[in-house]
Amino acid sequence: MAISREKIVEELKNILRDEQVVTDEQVLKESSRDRYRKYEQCMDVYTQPIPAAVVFAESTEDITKILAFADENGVNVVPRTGQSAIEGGLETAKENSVVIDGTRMNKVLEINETNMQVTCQCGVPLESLEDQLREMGLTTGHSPQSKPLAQMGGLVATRSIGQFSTLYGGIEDMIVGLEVVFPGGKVCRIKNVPRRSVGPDIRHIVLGNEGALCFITEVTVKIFKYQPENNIYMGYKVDNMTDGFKVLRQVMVDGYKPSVARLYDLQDAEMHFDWADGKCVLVFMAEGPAAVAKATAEGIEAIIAGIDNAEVVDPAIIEKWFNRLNWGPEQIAEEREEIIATKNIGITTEISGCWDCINDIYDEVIERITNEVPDLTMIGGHTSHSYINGTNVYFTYYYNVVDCEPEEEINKYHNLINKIICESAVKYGGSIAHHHGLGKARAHMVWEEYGSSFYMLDTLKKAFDPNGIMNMGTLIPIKHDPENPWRF
Amino acid sequence: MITIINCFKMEKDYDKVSEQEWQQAADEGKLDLGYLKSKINVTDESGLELSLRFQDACAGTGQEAQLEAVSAGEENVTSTLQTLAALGYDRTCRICNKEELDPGYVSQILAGYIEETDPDIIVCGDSSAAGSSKAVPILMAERFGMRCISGVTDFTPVDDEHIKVVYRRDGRLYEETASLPLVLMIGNVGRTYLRVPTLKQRLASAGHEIKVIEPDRDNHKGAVITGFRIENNNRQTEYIDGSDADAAARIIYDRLLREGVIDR
Repeated sequence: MAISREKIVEELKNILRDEQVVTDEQVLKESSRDRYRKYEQCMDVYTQPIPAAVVFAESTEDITKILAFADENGVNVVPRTGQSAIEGGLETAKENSVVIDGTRMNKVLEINETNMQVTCQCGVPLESLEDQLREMGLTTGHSPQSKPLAQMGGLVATRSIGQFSTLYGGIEDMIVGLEVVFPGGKVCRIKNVPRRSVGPDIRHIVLGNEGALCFITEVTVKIFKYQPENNIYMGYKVDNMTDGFKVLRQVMVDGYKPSVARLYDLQDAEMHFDWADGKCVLVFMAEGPAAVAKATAEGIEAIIAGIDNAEVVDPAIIEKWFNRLNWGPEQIAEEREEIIATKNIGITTEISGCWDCINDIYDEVIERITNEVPDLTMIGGHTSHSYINGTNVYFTYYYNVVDCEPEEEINKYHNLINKIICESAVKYGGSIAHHHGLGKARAHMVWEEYGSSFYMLDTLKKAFDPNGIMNMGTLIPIKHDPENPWRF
Repeated sequence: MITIINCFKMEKDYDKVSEQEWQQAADEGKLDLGYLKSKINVTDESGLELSLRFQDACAGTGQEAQLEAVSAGEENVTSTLQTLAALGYDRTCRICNKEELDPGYVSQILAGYIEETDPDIIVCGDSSAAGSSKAVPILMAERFGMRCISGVTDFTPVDDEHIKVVYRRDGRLYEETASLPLVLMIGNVGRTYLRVPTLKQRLASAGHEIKVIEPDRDNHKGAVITGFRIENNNRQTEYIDGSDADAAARIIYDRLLREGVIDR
């Protein structure tokens, strides 16, 4: 028999101090969703079950007790830290869920300059960690657009990637060791070593689990020398996306590692730059030791020289523009005001694909969304993370919400667009999510995404969360209508 | 039919300039804004949106409003004018220009263009982020002999010769049915972001032609302020008894009428 809402709160207050258990109605309502339901947020509409409590854990021991209680009583828990999720991963999909907030676990435990790694608790804000490291001439090399909000536990849980990924990699390339707590309260530590050959890399059970398998309490990531004085910024205008993809591929295949390698289509370029003149824009940054940065920049210049009509952009413009890409609370507040006033909302969806299909995915998505989505005001995209075998595309789209209650906006527009993007990615053999995670939204295409390997994901979920208490609905949906998978 | 001309200015988004850059600019004497995207001056944007709302309101009363937008600038103005055409602006005009112009010259070249249209209402934001002289609409009102209302927060149709104007003075809102023609200086109005056209609206307005005017730079009659000199240091103060601001204003108004400074 399900435990009552009141009893959940009472038991949590027995486990933790009263002050750690928050039941303020507004806090609970706001904790029932994330920025996937941005329009509902702006319109103060709540459509998800309101959690029973938000608990602020202060130690691994707290997490252990909470997860033991939740597992024993079948209480769904939603782990969170910086709350920058945008795919529904933080929605409380089940009645009387408990949101476990790790933001108070915010100590940097060790900066080891010999081993070039930093160990910190899950709630350490990335921005403050990065600031601290930079004062020491070091960097995490991790700089997602959500840096002003994101915290270390969430970054690992969502398989985050940063704007310098082409050089430093995603969080999966940075992670060294971890401490996590599984349902029932079992604490596991994965030790910090440079590499090992002792069976499957179990860090990958934790990486990207989106709170559906365990709660991450501590992470150790690599750190790097911070050498901004050697940074070289480059920008170019090219005629079309095909030329842009060609340049990106050549840069990667020739072995160059710029930290930034971006390509904007003309619609997205127009959103960012006054000077794009109806062309696509390539942006690069070479960094590292001076000689390496110089060689990287020269290599990119040589590749660009082979592209017809490519125009050079003043590097100073690129540098200053790039340093303003991040999103913090001020930008979110400003955006909210605009959405309320105009009913025009902008959202992004990112996918990935190999070089032989990424252009096809891009073309099909642009065409389908233009033709199939009502009240669209903009559709464009850019690529911001490239690899030797392919790249991502970050689709950006805006639409006016017309003749539609706030509760219906998600189905009428957002899910329709997500559906088109995910269908095209799957059709051409790409992935439906490059770095924002599946959350609870794109989870509805988990079977198409995983194919026969869904067995492995499903088995992991059943093994580590046999009672189904960890962020249910994330990764694997709990309510799924195969006839209308994108209507929820 | 009521004809409205909106004058607007594209300017850099100064909110995006960091404290460090302002400091650097103060030290070095220059501020490089080339990397910043331009946007419509915030009060001009409110004016453009309020005109669209006026047009929407007309539709419900059987009245008609024709909207026109004009700005001086480079290609980035063109893209904004195309957006305005997609939103329902009937006519658009770009006055070719690359420089920051003094208010006198701006009012002169705008007036030259506006004269041809003979509008019922001229709508301008009350100031720009840079300069903020608040002079352009006043100079235009003077040039055309039109009444100018400042601090406007809304305007709605009444009939072909009158509109209802809401404006702010000393923190209070006033509403007045005013005779046309008028120059409206739009003040700080909350939640008046310019609406966004759909791709279909853009497509539908693809054939829209923007009028492009090359200003006559040799015939510049505008004033360029090169410095200030204090002519007279004397001050004259008179206390007026009045129970509140309205009563005090009434006393001043009556006196100015008596002295023939203003007409009833």
